[in-house]
Amino acid sequence: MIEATTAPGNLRARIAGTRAWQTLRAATWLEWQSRGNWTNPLLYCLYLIVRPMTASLVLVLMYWVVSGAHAHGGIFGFLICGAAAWTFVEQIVAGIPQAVLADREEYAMLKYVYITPSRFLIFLIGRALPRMLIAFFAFAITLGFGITLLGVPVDLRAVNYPLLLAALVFGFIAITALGIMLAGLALVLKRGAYQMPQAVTGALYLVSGAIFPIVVLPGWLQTIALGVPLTYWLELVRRALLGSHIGEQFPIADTGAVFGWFALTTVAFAAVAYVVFRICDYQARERGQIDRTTGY
Amino acid sequence: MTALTPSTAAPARPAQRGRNMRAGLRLGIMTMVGRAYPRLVAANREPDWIFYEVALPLLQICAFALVYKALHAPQQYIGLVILGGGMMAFWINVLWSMAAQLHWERQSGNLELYLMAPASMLWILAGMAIGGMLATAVRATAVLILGSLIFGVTYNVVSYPLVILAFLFSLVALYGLGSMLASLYLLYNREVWAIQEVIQEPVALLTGSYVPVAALGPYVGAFAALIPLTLGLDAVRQLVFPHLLPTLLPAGLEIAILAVLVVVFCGGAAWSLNFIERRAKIQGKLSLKWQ
Repeated sequence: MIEATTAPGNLRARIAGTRAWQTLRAATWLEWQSRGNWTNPLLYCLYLIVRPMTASLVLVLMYWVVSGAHAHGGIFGFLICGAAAWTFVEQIVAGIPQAVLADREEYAMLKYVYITPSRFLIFLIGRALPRMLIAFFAFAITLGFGITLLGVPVDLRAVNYPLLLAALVFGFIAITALGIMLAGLALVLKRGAYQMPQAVTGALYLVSGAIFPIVVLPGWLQTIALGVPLTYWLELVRRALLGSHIGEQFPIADTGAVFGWFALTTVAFAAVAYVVFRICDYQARERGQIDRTTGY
Repeated sequence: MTALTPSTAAPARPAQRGRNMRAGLRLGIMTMVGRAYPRLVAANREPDWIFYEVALPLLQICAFALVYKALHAPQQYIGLVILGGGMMAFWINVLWSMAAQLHWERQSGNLELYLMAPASMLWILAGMAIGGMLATAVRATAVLILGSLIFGVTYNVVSYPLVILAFLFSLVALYGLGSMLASLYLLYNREVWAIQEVIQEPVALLTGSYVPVAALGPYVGAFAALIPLTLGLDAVRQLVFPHLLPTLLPAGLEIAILAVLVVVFCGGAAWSLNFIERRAKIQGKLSLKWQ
């Protein structure tokens, strides 16, 4: 009797697990193909690194033009590490909503994704995975370029790898949650759905201190900055790469405390993002916005 | 029968040609106005542009200005960023609303209608350019004013006519470049899209939008001068921040080079459009979607 009642439950769990895995795999492959199958792998790699590298070079030139050519002190490493890490946010936070909108409006296939037995949330996580891989590749190349050619003061033997890994893993959760929430919002927006993720990314670029210490922000913006998980994430990535001394200008000195705040804000943020996404997803289906076209 | 005799037909031909020219010109101007209209009027009917097209560039400008602030740079560097950000609005418009426009038109099925219409595609591109230029000018002015107010930047204009000349020449050349890029969409799709995504940041670097272009050195600077934005920005900065920032060339010479670039890019746009349109027709790519 016990076996009879538990077997279907186990079977259901196994089917759900298999479906989730299949969805994740298919979405990952779809994203990889839709991002890169327009060209050969070499050109695609070049395409991936040009943008973050030139963004870093702009900052390097800004630094050199003020501090003197080829100076490496002060916030030089701060700038490059922040610009390199920002690739993750650009790829996922701005990228997932764009992918969903392209599926809905350009390729008109979003409704087919919805009618499969897979969960849309898992599909979106699958879409985020290749972007995370791409971002990691661009992050590593930009940082390598900065270390070898521009003299960014990162000692690879002194890097705090466990902290870097933990920051990247938690960062993936925070960034993907934000991307998914914006994808949900993009589904229900009547106008500006394409621009909204860029607006949010732009605001976060400013508020989270991606390329400058948050102490230069006005007081009220600093308070907002300390409520955003990306502020702590960027700080932890910098501390892991450049050493704890880089955090002298950050309002919280202790790295453990920074990590604690990062974990706390990430969990809170992911919960809010999930709720917002579910509401938007429901609203989009109720209002018949899954196959709506606004731009074509 | 009398109309076919040489004595009567010869005087009629120039008159007919004149009428045809006038009709062609009228049609062209109507086409241009018709294409500029949605950019000038319809785009402003939705007030959300104020947020997306003013606030977004402003956020980027603020971020770069705060970097200079963190580096304790002189105030003119923040002014440099604000001017660069204002001009970048035109570059973004050229990239995504000029060059990529034919991609949107193809996706929505308008491209075939454009090609079937009796007016030349050049008039349509000219309408897109004028509409885009004027609409972006409003947005860029708003960005410039707000940025200057936020960071307290003041300008010391040496010569208003030269500033206007440098600005106009760089814009016309830039939109000519945009028209050249637009013609590529008649043959290609996602490849050009990717190129556009890729060149956005390098152009910000090369044109010196956030740093004086002289910081790139003479060779890179000379290469960057092929992009009209570079010389336009450098000339305008020299004229509004005299003797405060490193410069590439004297402003007068930069304006003269910009005049040459206007001819090169506008002529190039006409040539490339004709050439690529013919090739696209031969290869049957004009109505190819989702590639």
